[in-house]
Parts: sequence; C-alpha cells; structure tokens
Amino acid sequence: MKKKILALLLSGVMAASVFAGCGGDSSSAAGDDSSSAEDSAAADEGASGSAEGDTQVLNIRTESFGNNYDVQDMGWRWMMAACYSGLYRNVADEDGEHFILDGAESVDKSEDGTVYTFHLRQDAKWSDGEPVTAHDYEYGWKRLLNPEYAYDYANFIFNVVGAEEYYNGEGSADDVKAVALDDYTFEVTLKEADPTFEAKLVATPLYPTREDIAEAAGDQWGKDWSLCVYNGPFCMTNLVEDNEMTWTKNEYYWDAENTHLDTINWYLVSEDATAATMFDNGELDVLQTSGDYSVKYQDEADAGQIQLITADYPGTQSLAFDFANGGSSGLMKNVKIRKALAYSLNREEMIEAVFGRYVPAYGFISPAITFDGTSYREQVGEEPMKAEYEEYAGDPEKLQALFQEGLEELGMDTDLSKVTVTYLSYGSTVDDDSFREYLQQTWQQNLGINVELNTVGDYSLFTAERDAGNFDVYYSGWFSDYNDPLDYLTTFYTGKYTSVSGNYSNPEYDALIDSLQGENDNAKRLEIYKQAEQLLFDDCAMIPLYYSTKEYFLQNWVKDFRWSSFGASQEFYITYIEGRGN
Amino acid sequence: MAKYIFRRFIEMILTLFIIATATFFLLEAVPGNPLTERAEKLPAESREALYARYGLDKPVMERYVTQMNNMLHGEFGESFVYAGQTVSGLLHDRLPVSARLGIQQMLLGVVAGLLLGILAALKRGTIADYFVVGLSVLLISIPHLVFGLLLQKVFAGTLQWFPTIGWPKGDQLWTGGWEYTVLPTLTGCFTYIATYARLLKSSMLDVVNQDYVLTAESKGLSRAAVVRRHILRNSFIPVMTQLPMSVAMCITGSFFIESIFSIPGIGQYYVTAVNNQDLSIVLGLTVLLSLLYIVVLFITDVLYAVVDPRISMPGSGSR
Repeated sequence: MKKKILALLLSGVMAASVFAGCGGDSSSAAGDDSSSAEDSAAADEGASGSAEGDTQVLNIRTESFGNNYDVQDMGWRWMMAACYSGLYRNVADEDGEHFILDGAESVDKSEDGTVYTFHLRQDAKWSDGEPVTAHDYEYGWKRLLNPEYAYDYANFIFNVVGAEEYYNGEGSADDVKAVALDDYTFEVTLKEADPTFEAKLVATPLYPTREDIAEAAGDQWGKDWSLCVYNGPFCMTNLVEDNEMTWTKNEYYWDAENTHLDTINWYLVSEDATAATMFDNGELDVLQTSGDYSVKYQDEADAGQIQLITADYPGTQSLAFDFANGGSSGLMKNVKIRKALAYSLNREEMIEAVFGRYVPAYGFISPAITFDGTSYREQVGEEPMKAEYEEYAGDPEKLQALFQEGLEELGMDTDLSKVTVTYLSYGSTVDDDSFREYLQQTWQQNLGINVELNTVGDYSLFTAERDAGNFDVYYSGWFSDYNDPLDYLTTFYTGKYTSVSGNYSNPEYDALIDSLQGENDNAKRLEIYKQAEQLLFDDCAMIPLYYSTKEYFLQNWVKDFRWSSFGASQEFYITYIEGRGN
Repeated sequence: MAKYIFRRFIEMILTLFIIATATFFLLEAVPGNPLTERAEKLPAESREALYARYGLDKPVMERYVTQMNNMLHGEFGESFVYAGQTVSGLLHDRLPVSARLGIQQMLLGVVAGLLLGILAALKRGTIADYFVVGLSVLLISIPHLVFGLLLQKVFAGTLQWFPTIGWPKGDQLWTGGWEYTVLPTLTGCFTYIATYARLLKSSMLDVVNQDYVLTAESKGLSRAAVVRRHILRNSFIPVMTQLPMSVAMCITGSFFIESIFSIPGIGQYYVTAVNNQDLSIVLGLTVLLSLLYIVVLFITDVLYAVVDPRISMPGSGSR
C-alpha cells in the first residue's frame, strides 16, 4: 500500500513536470483539477476581458471515456488521434477527408513500392520537450508486434518484412524491417507492394512511442494518463473517470501556431435530457444526441439558432445469415430465400419509421470509404443490390413466389404460413425495439411467413445464442478500421470475421480477394473490389440495412469544427471560438 | 460479550466466503466473459493471445482457487475491462465521493423525515398529517432518475441557480463546492424523508396508546415532557434499527444519481462492472461492501442493547 501511495505521489510530481510544457496556463493544468464551473466561468468572463475577444475554450459532451492511453492498442482512437501524432495525419477540411504529412516531412517510395523511407520533421516534439525521433517509431512498431503484448492491431503491419514471424514467435525483433536509419529517417520494407499501406499509417497503432517513458511505466503503460507524454496538437491534462476530462493545447506540437483552442473540456453526460439542459444553457458548445432531442435541435438548426453538421460514418448495419447450419429453420442456405428476405424490406420506409436518420443501404461498403481520394460508392456507380431489388420491390406476390421457389429447391413444403424465421438481436433502446417490430411485421406481411424474435439482454448472451445456432438471421454490421474498401471486403473472406459474415464461404470470392495481393494498379483494384462486392450480392451474403451517419449540433460561435471518419472523429485542430460573448 | 463477538467474527468470515464463492460462480454462469466483445473483432490467433494475457484460458476451478487465494492476501486483481483499475484504487478514488453524497443525503433526509414524522403523529388526522403521508407516498414513488432530471431542468436549466452536473474535487472533496452537491443531495434525500417520516409516525402512534404514556399523563407531566421522555424515546427503537443500515447503504452510492449528475462515485462503477462481467472488480467490491454490512449489522445489535436494556445479547449469558 505504501508503495502505491509513493507511486501516486511520484506520478503527481511527474504529471506536474510533464505538463509544464502543455498549454499556456501550466499551473492550473498541473495542479489539482480545477472545477468545471471555474472553467466555464473563466470562459465567460474571459470573453469580455481578453484582447482578442473570445477565450479559446470549448465544452463538449461524451458518453464514455476510453481508459486506454497506449497508442499501439488504439483503444481510444478519438483521444489518441488528437493528443498523439504519427507519420501522417487524417484530417477533415473544406476538401473533405484526406491525409497529410504530419510527423514525416517527406516520403520516398521505391520503384516497386516495397520500401518506404520517411524523413521526419526535426521540429516535432513530445510534450516534455524531447524531439520525436525515428527511434520512437521503431520502438512503437516493434512494440506493436511484440507477441508478449498481444496487440489487437499487430496484423496491420504483418506485411512488413519479418513482422509476422516476430509476432508468431518465429523470428526476432531485430529482423523486423522497420528501422531508424538515423534520428530522423525511418525506413520500412514490405514483403510486397500494398496500396492500402499508406491508409493504415494514420492509425494510432503505427504512431511512435517513447521507449524510456514506456519502459519506466512498465505494467502501468497505457493505463495511467499521467505517465504519458503527448506529441499531438493537444495533451491530456486532467481526467476524472465518470466525470470530466481536459485537453490543453500542446505548445510543443510542431504546428502549434495553427492550433487555436487552448482548452477542451469533455463532460461525461449519460442522459440526453441533461445534455440538452446544458446545451440550452451554453454549458456545452457541441452536442451529439439522439431521438426526440435530435428532432428538436434539427428544427432549431433550420431556424439558424444553432449549427448542424451531418456526415457519413464508415459503418454499415446489416443482417447476417446462418451459413454454417442454414439457420434454425434450415432455409438460409438457399439463395432465393435469402433474396426474398432481403428484397422485402423497404429501406426508405424503415429509416423514416424507425431511425429518423441514416442513409438506406443497397450495398455493403459505406459511402464514407474513399478510394484514390474520392468516394468508392461514387466511382462504382449503382449499388450492387439496387437493380434486382427494384424488380421485386413492393410486390408481395413476386416476393412470395421467390421464397416458394427456394422452398421447392430445398424439396420442402411450399406453404409459407408454415415457415418460421428466427431473428436474433439484443439491446433495449427505443431504436432496437422498433426495428425488431418493424422487421417482424414487414416480413410477416410481405412474405406471409412467421417471424420469431429471439431477443436477449446483452452482447454476451447474444454471442451465446448465436454460437448455439438459435437463429436464422441476426443483427450485424461492420465499422471500418481504415479507409479502404478492402477493410470491408475482408470480413467476408472465409473464416476471417465470422461474426460479420455468418460463416459465409465462397472460394470464388476468396480467390478474388487473394488476387489483390501485390496488385498495384488502382484501376484494376477498383475493378476487383467492384466484382467482389457484386458477388456478395449475387450470393445475397447479407441484408444491408443502412449506412451510418453522424450528427453534431454546434453553438453558432463554434467555427471550423469538423468531423472525420478515420482520424480524431472530432477534428479540433483548426477549430476556434468567435462571438461567444457573455 | 467476548464469546459473542468471537462467534460473530467466525460467522462473518464464513458469510464472506459464501458470498465470494457465490458471486464468482454466478458470474461464471453468465454466458460469455469480459473479453467477448473485444475478442469477437479479432482474428483467431490474436484472440487466443488476448485470453492468455488475462489468464482466461485457464479452467474455472483453477481461476477460482487463484482468485480466492489472492483475495486472502488482500489482492483483488485488476479490471478486465478498464486497464490498470484495481479495487483498492477504486475505493481510494471513489468511495469518498459516494460517501459525501450519501452522508449529505442521509443527514438532510433523516432529520427532515423525523421532524415530519413527529409532526404527522402529533397532529394526527389534520391537514398536516395528510400532507406528510401524501408527500411520503409521492416521494417514494418517483424514481430518482425522473426527479433528478426534473431538478436539473428547473434549477440548473430555467433558473440557473446551480451547475447542471459535476462534483467537487481535490481540496474540496469533503467540504467545498457546495453548489454542485445541492441538486444530487436533494434528489437522493427524498427517499430518506419518506422512509423515516412514515417509520417514526407509525412507531409513535403505537407508543401513544401504551399504558405507560397514560400513566405519565395521569402523573400530571406536561405534554412536552411526555412526548420527549416517554413517547419519543420508546418510538426510536425501529429508527435505531433502520439507521445503521441506511448508513451502510448511503456510502455505497446510487447508480442513477451518480450517473445523471456525472458524479465519479462507486455506485456507478459497480453497476458498470457487473454489466461488463468484470469479475475481479465485482468480486472485490461485493466482498468489501458485504463486510461493511456485516459490521454494521453487528453494531446495530449492540446499539439495540444501549437503547433498550431489556434486549440482551444472545450468548452473552448475563441477564
């Protein structure tokens, strides 16, 4: 116990010394947590007092903190991408979402696309004033692969020479070809050219880590924010679990000149009603909410009282079939039956009746995913399910005939009223409940079959029911880890992400995905992506429901706040406050 | 007395052991484990490594023995879900927060409740009595969540008298930042008001009809003296029984109040831990909180004897 207290004291002292470089107001940052009222009071008073007009403080709500400060773990992307920085930075500005050089000043790529040489900028520093060097990158990457730590995202760099071997315990760290040639040159050698490699560089597992700091923290690395140093635009300077968190501008960030906000206060607010009270009061500047509150604020945004940002989010919700056993009804192995189920849903109607937001999905890959700089969806034209869907849409007789053809193929009784399809799901929010009811009613009406709802309390129970095979169809979906269509398509590769694919397996599909290996021609890749996605829908491998979107309400004085899919989510690096007044 | 205390001590150890064992196996019986959701998204080989890292690849009985053995040495282990979070860390950071909130609620609620109870008993059948009874029923039936949100909307939103959320920290942990504590304290104290007002009222009505009250009155004692010395003192026995339990309950925190006011207390964490099947944390907190209850129950028994000497302690031998 004494040791613990000593450790706490030490960490306090370290925190104080570390944050001396973090933000202009180092005393309040390092000292005991200044209360939120003082912060917001300071914001209000400061607005009239400061010469420039507004204090650059932003207050925002969140529903949870990530409790993970280890970039290699990527447990908390939206914090990490704002408080840390890697070779590239994923940004969102008036040109949309793209990545720019951040820790690297320039990159040389070998002719065959296998050797990347990153020249680091020499003015990049950690929040304790130490320079960010190529050794920090080398340490971070090798740490990611260290089998002892079993990092989730190690497979992001399995294509690096020696990486997979080291991770599997067959090679050593020294054989991994991700090395610091000198303090500011970092060289990576890939086994084969991979056009998705650069897209992965914005992910936090490939960020640098300070060896001295991480080794000193030992077991506690990544668990205690006060033991960390930061190299991003902001640093964490206060965090109280279940309560609040403060980010302060990092004066040592190489581009600190262009970072305007001095302080970002995050409040953990679990109830939408509370958040609404705070937003109405001006205690919050940015709000994410749902349901009725979303409708209320949409009206206020229309009236110009507040601002509204909506954006695509790289997630697709879908229903997965039981390909392993054909489901509890035994029918799911038949493609016509799967199609009848998929085509009997009117997605526009569903979105209006159930969710009140989102975009209807007739494909799998989200519109937020870009390829070669522009949206993949726009490049490939019509969504893969659309044409066939429209042949059947809104025609119950045709849909039922399709279902019956399937039954015949299986040699079963074609009396639809004797068919029961089981839908497995969990969750008890209003959205969850109304979606279940919508699905049950729609299928029963359009197809004349019975739909049984197998609804369980939480995710663990859900996986237990799923693994026991007590379903035909379950609620599923994919939220992308990096910005490339491949991340979506890989999920349906045999045995890869069975919780998404429902154990879908098609050698033809696997061969298509395999053929992408080492393929450097973007036009060819695009063609293969398109074929692969189309194949999923020819097979009706899943029922797409909707593409996810994000919705932010902002006070009118918040300027240049943006949303990104693969970076910090909330992009504050160019945000500023103007005209808050008192 | 010593023999009694020794017996209670042995009972306590046994009870704690049973509680710990039951908690462990109940959590084991729930399908899935704390890592299920995280492991789902991983390729098979990483999944195995992850389970091995948290020791979840071992058989149940082996983990049970390890866990119990560690607990004997005062180590409850680390959270599966929140890296680095330990039971002792939680108690150190969060218990004071929940305790202050609970004590404030209880002090305010019990005092107000007792006063209202006395009022209702003495003015039986009047408007005041009906008001207290009506209020109690109303207060006890409105859920904390609704009440808290209502107070927030009115006093923080419309009137802006108090901050909407937050809790004093650092130097102010125990004695400062009162403006933050007003709304959460009010939200929680109504339960106490309702409970104690009804408890004391019914107990007093019982006592009023006793013969010794009649005797006291016929002796010519003043009304005030009768109430103070004979009625109140005797009607406090049920209150004394309830009070230690309230004390024990109050410092363990309230999930809803802590959650809507963003108060970093222990009640909120406990519920989250159960939902996450965070075994080591749930087990540790359950055992420690049970210990608290058991100690409090013991103190209650002793207090009984103090308030009413006619009640003797079982096994104490002396009459």
